[in-house]
Amino acid sequence: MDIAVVQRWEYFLFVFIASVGVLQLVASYSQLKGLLFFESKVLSYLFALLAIGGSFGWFFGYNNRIDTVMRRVGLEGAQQFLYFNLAAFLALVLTLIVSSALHTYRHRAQCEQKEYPEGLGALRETSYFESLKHSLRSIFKEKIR
Amino acid sequence: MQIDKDIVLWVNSLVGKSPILDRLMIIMANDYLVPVGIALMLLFIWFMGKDPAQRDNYQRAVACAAISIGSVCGFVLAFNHLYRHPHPFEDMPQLMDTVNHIFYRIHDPGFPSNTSAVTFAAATSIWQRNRKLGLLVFIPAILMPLAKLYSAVYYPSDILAGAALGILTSYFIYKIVMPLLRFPIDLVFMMLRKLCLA
Repeated sequence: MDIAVVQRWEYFLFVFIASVGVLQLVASYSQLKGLLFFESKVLSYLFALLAIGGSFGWFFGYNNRIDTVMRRVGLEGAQQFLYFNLAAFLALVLTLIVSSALHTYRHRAQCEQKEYPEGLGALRETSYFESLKHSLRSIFKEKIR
Repeated sequence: MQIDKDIVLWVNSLVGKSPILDRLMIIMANDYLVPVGIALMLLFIWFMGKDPAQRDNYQRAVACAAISIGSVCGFVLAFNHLYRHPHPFEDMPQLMDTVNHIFYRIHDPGFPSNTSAVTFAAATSIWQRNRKLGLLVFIPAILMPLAKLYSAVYYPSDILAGAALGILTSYFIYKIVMPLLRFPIDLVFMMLRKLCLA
C-alpha cells in the first residue's frame, strides 16, 4: 500500500520558490528596483506570478497530491515553521545576491548615486550590497567622529 | 454540548451534495495552503510600504503577528494539557466517512482549535494596523477553520474558542507587550534598517 506523505524537501522547495516569487512581486509593487531581477515591471510581475503559481501548482496539483499525500499527517506545525523560515530566509539571500549582481552588471557605466536613504528605501535606486556598503560606511564614520 | 453536535451534524449533512463545495473545503482544510498563504502575505507586507513611515507601520504589524502566533501556540499547548475533549468524529462515529472524504483524522486535541487561534492571531495583528490588509488576511483565516468544521474535525465551540484566543492574544500583544518591548523592538528595527532589510 502506498503511504507517501509530504516530504520535507518538497515543502522546502515549494516555500523557497514561492518566496522568491513573492519578493519579486513586492519589489515590483513597492518599486524596490534594487531587489528586482528584471528591469521591466511586466517581466517582474510575470516572473513572480509564474514562480508563485508554479510552486503552488506543483506542490498541490502534481499527481493530484491534494487528494493523496495531503490527506495524511505530514509535517508537524513546528517542522513547518522551521522549514518555512529557512526557505524564506534562503529565498531572500538568493534574491539579494542575484539582484545585486544583475544591478551591478546593468549599471556599471553609470555615475554613483549621491543619496542613500536609510533602510529598505535605499533599494529603490541601488542594489542591496551597494546600499549595505554605504550603510555600514556611515556607521563607521559616525563612530570615528 | 448538544448545540455543538447539532451544528456539526447539520453542516455535515451538506457533505457530498455539491462537488464544488466539497472541493473548496478539501483545498481550504489542507494543512499547508492557508498557513503558507498567510506567512507569504506577512512576507509581502514586510516589504510593501512605499515610504519609511508606512514601512515601519507594516513591519511592526508583521512583528506583532509573529509574536502573537508564537504566544498563541504556547497558550493552546498549555490549554490542551488542562482540558481535553473528543473531536466530533470521535463522539459521532457516523461522521468518519465525512472526515475521510474531506480531510483526515487529526490527533491533536480539538479545544481550542489551534488552526483558528493561529490564523486569527495573524489576521488581527495586521488588522490592528491596517484595516484593508487585515480583512484580506481574515479571508483565509476564517475559511480554514470553517473547512475543518465542514470536515467534522472541530466543533463550533473549538473554533470560536480558538478565534477568541487568537484575537485576544493579538490585542494583548499589540496593546501591552509591544509598548513594553518597545526598546528591544526598536533596537532590532534599527539594526535591520542599517542592514537595509527594514
